[in-house]
Amino acid sequence: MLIEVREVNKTYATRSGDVVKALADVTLQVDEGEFVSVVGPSGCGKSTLLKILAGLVSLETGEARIRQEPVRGPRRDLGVVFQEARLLPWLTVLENVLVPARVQNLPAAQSRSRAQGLLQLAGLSDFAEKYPNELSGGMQQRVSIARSMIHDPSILLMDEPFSALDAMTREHMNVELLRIWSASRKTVFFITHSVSEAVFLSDRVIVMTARPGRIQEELTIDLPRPRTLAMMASPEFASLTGHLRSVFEAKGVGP
Amino acid sequence: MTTRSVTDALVETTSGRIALSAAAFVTFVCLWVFALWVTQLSAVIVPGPMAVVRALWDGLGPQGAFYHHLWVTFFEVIAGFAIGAGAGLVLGIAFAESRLLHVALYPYLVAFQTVPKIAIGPLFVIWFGFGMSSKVAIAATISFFPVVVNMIAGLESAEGERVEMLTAFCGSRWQVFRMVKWPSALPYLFAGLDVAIVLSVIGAIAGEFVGAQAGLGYLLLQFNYSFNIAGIFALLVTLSLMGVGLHLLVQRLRRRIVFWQQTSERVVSA
Repeated sequence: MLIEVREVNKTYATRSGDVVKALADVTLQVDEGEFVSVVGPSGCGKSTLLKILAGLVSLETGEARIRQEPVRGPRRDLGVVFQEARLLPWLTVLENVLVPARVQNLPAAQSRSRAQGLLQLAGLSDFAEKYPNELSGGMQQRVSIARSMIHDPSILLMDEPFSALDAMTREHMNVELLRIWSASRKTVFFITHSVSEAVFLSDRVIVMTARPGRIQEELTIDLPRPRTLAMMASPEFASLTGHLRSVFEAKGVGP
Repeated sequence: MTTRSVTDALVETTSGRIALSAAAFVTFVCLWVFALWVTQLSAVIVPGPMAVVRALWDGLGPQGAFYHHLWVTFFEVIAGFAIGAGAGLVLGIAFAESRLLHVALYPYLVAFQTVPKIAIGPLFVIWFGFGMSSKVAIAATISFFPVVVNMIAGLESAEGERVEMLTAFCGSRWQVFRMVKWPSALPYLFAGLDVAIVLSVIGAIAGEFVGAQAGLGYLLLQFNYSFNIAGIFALLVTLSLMGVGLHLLVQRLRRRIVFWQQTSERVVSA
């Protein structure tokens, strides 16, 4: 088991002094090579869960382990993609992709050719020397995905990476992500509030509800791979998304 | 051609803009001459444009009398700016990075900032003498504040998301500073430097007013005593040319270095 979260609790103090329970007894596992999505409404603590795994936020009680080691801080075998691309505007696209390699002192020449390979994989070879503000939102997010993979991490943590994009771009990015993923076969832990995105991408979907953030259900997605956008019109797809939506409806919250 | 398109042509083309500025200048000179003719003021009190041009030629022509003083003031401005801006930069970093320093000293910095720095001039002349060092000290003190305040604001402006991104990839505190905070602060730093270089000129001149043996401010007082009003006008033109030149130099540097951000950032007033 690659990622193991056991009975994790986390509370936040809001600015007004209220205490909000972000995560309540969250337990989950992710296996090597698996694509797992956590879907839930905003404010259900799913981003907090990702930040705990990324070593950016500490947990209160419970345990989070990666490769059997408790998470104590950022790790080099993780790649993180955030909701916003978070590119550095003073660096070129290529230099942005190289940021984690520079930070971790990886050999420069090797990283450079790797970055070029990743940009090619992301369909951005022609933009390597451009600056981020010359790119569209979708392209910027693809750069940030390439960046998350430059140090060849075995795990990708993705925090609603496509939620800022329009619906068309988003579907296109989903297909792109699956293409990149199938070429690299990394373990992906994907956060989203879109039920159909979760079903389309994942091997397994974990449903979280809010206040407190709690896991309601896990669902294995047995749609064949490679997946195509046409599958989204299939009855199997509809029954999976329909089932997930009914879980939220039963709790009175829409994702 | 309608009136509207004539205006557009003047405002939106480089040659049109130059023509407009030139027209404004000619109008100004004409009004100046006209006002002198109407008021019949003595040329001793208010010189005409030609007298000022002559004084400028005497000062900045081949045998110009200003050069020695110009270099003295220029050196004071540059040295004061370098020392003040350098100190502001280092202290700004220290304040932004050390919570302890910030809490302990920042209130005093703000309090000291409200002191009109020119008022310290006489004190500095006593401490550093009538030579250039007292003017350098005043120029340094006056250039220090806009730089330190903007440096702090700039480093604190670094987006938390970007800092978190670098941290997530195992970036150390030093790497976060070098790769995220420092570049984020550069637009602010340049805004501070821009204010500081102009203030540095004011500081040097104010210092020379208090007591000096050379410099444009010293020369200005000499001209004042001898009622050389055209000379004073010529000195004012020289000083503003220096100020504008230095300001443009900083702007040029800013555009080169902070290339990713072409709109000027808001300046923290100092």
